[in-house]
Amino acid sequence: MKRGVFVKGLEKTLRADWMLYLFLVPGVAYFIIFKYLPMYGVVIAFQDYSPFLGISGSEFVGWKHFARFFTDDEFATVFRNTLLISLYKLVFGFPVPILLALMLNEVRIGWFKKTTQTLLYIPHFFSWVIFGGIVIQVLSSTGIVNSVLQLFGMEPVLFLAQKEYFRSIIVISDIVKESGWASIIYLAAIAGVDPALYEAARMDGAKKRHEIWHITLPCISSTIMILLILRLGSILELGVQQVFMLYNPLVYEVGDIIDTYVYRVGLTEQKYSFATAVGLFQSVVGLILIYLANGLAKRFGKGGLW
Amino acid sequence: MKKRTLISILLTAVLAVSALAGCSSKGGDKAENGKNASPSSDQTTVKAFIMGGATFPDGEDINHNPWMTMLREETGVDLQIQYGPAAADEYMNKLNLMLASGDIPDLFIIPSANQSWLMDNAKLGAIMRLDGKLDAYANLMNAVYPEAWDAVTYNGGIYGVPVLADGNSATDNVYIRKDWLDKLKLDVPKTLDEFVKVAKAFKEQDPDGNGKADTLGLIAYDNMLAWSSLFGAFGVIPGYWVEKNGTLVPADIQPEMKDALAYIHQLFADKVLDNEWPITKKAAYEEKVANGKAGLYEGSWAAARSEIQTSRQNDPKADWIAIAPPVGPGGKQGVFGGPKYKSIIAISSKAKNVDAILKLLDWQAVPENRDKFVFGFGQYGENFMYTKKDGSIELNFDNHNKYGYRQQLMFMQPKELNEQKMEALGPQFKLNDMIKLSIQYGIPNAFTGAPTPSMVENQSALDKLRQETFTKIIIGELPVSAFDDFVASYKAKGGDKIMKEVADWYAEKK
Amino acid sequence: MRSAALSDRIGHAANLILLAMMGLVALFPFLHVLSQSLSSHTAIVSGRVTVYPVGLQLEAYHQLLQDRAFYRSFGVAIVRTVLGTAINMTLTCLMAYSLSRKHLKGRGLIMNMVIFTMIFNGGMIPTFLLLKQLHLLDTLWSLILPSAVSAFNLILLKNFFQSIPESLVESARIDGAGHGVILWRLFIPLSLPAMATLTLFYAVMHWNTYFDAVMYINNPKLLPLQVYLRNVIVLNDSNMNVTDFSGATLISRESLKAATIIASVVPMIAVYPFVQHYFVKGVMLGAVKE
Repeated sequence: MKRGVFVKGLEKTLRADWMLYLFLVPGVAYFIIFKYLPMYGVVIAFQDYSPFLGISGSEFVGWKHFARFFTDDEFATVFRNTLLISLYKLVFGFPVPILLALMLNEVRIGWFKKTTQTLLYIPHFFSWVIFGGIVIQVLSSTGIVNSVLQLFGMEPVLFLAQKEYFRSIIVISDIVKESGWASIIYLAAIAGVDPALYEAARMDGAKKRHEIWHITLPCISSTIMILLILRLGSILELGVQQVFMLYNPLVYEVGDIIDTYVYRVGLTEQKYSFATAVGLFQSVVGLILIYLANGLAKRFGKGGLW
Repeated sequence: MKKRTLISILLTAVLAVSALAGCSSKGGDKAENGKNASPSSDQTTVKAFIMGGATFPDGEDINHNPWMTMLREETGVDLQIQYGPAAADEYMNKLNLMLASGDIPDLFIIPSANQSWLMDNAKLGAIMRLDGKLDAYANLMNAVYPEAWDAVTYNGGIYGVPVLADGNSATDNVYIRKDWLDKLKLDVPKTLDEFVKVAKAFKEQDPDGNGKADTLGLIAYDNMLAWSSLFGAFGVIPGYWVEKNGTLVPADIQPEMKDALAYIHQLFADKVLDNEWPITKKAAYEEKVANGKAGLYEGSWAAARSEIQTSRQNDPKADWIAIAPPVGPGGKQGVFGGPKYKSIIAISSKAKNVDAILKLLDWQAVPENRDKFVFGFGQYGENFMYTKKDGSIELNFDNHNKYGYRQQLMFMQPKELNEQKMEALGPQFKLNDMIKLSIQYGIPNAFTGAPTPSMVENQSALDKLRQETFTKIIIGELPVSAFDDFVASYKAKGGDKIMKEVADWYAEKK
Repeated sequence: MRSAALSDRIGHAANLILLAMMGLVALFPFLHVLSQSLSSHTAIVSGRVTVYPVGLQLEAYHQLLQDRAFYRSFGVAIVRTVLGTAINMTLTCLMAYSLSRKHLKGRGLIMNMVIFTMIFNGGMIPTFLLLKQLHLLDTLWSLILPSAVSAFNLILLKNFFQSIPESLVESARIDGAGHGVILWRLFIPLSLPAMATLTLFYAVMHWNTYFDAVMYINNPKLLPLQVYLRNVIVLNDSNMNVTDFSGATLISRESLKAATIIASVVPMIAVYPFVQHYFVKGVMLGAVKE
């Protein structure tokens, strides 16, 4: 009985929405073929994988790599540093592109708006090898910052060698480099706000800041929410390039992160297995956070990823 | 009705995707052979996978050019090259992909930094064992230093052919500005104390005569090996192994290292050593030489062609000379010695034509044949690649660079230093002398073997510990006494195990 | 009234000044690299180049622009980018549309499936083996298909589509429009800023990605621009030792590096104005109701 109803329901659904499902076919096929089929590679994290032996030939070692990671003397340090740097980047860095978009949105002069937008997103295209090199120069003892300090009669400071400054340097340089690019999506969202809403508000006597607070922000809040949730998904994945370029032995305690640690250790045998295991850990944490954040967002009625 | 339509549409979609997947697209030069390496069946075909990235004149590529033609003719070997990525780590990644997919080339060349990769795969049976097969090839054997074989030996078997750099095993020299010495009326320093006096004078007595206190004493950068002469003065090179009491011990934990660190720390405290060194990278280091801020430093044997040349271009009065490294309180001196190889040629265990490969390598190990690549041959030789002037050879740099790819076809490097080539690059650089000086004072790493299991496991952590500790001691963040804690940590974190393995290795060697 | 206008004006001015300052800070690295590409080697390695060329020379660009491989790889990059982005946008729009329909059964399942792939993936080796099995190695498809849909972009677009009022969709359906028409005539025009942004994201991804090309492509004629440029840099870098060709090349090594960076960045800068064109505000909610 039940089965009959189910099949009937399925048929009914298919009939009404067959086009919608059709639309989904190529995309879903893509995900299955190119994302799910290769997913068996995750098992590398549980093996002593060697490319020569392949997955079927490599020895299964269970949690060995995870154990090694968690019991390493450096685990606490790199985990803490990764978490802290990531949180700082989130708290200080996440709002900046939004602010930029709002500011750019208010510019009335066409050429200024276009030019500034373009300028701001250029640093995104430089790799950290280049950008990091520039940061190092700017902060060196003969660089701009120290030259200014000396103008004021102060002694030059080796910023990159100081533990107190290192994390801030990482966060700030990242903000400078990426905010312009990240603001684009917010600009797109702001462009989608119905101008009629602004007119109505202005007629009610609203000032600029009211407009922004009561109209613009709420209208783009779903975009903000989504980007925030997705950001949380990569909370432990900072990437190796930036820190690798900028760190040195004097700041290892505060600057060594999971990714640089894996890079160093992974330069030897079993690099694949160990790196995959740690990557898996980073991903799982990210996934948990996504689910949590999404659930919270829904609870507060802000919609979510799905 | 609708259901059938739906299913037929779905089927068509799936078919379309697979059809798309099947067709290849523009530019697929499928006529070209040797692109996808797999073990060759023909007895004289050798498929090699090497690092690439060079540019070619129109119509040429790595398999179609005058040198490849000449090589194939003279050796009788049909060499087919798969041109790989230019960056070493990308090359290694790609090599791993080839291993994973079972498409292993006959021959590939591993940078020395990836030696442990080679030995791991040798253990698994991916690499062909060569001992016994090599003795017939005299030129090949002649091109390899005896101690270099240690690096490719596992359980008595030889798993690769070590290849020299063309600077032989030369590394660094200490360079000083004679014009500054003359200006300040100082002699060329020989002992460590004299060095420090000179460095101090360079810093404080305005040797460039511009009235500004902008010159530096001793300079260094974040890589400690790069200023090894200060450590060599105590007989210890960071990261190296040294012989003591009939066995090998790590230089890092020797009492001499503590003395070295104490001494260098003092230099730092006295501001004789550039205080920016921990955050200085190589380019910035060389910049200080190039723009005339430094007058005493340790640079590569080829420095005359780079930062020293720039220094001369900026200031024609700059008279740089290479000198022997400083002699320390114990009478020791030296810079870090280079390993006797820069890369390793490896042959796949599945290769069917080992003789052809070895024949090729043997031919390449002959200095006359090497010169056919360096200096060209036939119409590509005299008056094309070089000209003879008053008995010396001058390279035609335009063609030298235009056909630069030809040097990638040279897999072997004979032991005899190619003095002619060094001359040809510019006699004013005196490269042959630079090389000889560097080799003379190079302190080699006494451990020449492949990384031991405990090394693979722990070395990166130990290196990090060493870097952190030494840097902090030198700049004064840690007291010199912290060295003793370092030694204890080093031993506890795997250092003991490594030491035992190395000691065993050494005992067996003798 | 007066004070409102004044505070508004101060606000605007402050806004402009702040943005101008930030723009200059962002401009600095670009000027630095651009200057390096036009400066003499001596000036660069002596640290004399800041934001303007010292010892002006055009050798670096000359060397790039006279190499056939440069143009070839540029062409490959363009084909890859255009073809790839077209496929990306098509698939993404189709999927985003369907997934934005709240009543669709199985929506949650598919979303979960998509998000899962953002976090977990098999890695380089299984993907390589898959491509090998599908005979896609050494073809342009190996650069396009594995990245055919970005989960991130999909989620963004779905979100934008969801914000289009249901009432519009309803009235369109009542008028007899099928899903295809609704997507093409309604959703896409209404989401032009989002569409432009995602097109930019995909295009930039294709333009800048080199790792897949390095691993999947062997044919040197099929290597896109980024790989060619990287090879120029890496080869020149590793050639610090006399082991190779850098005799005269040494003269322009640093500026050549800089020139390659400029060469790869400039097209991205040139493309942006076209994107900005679509950021027209409040696109015709009313106008579409034709």
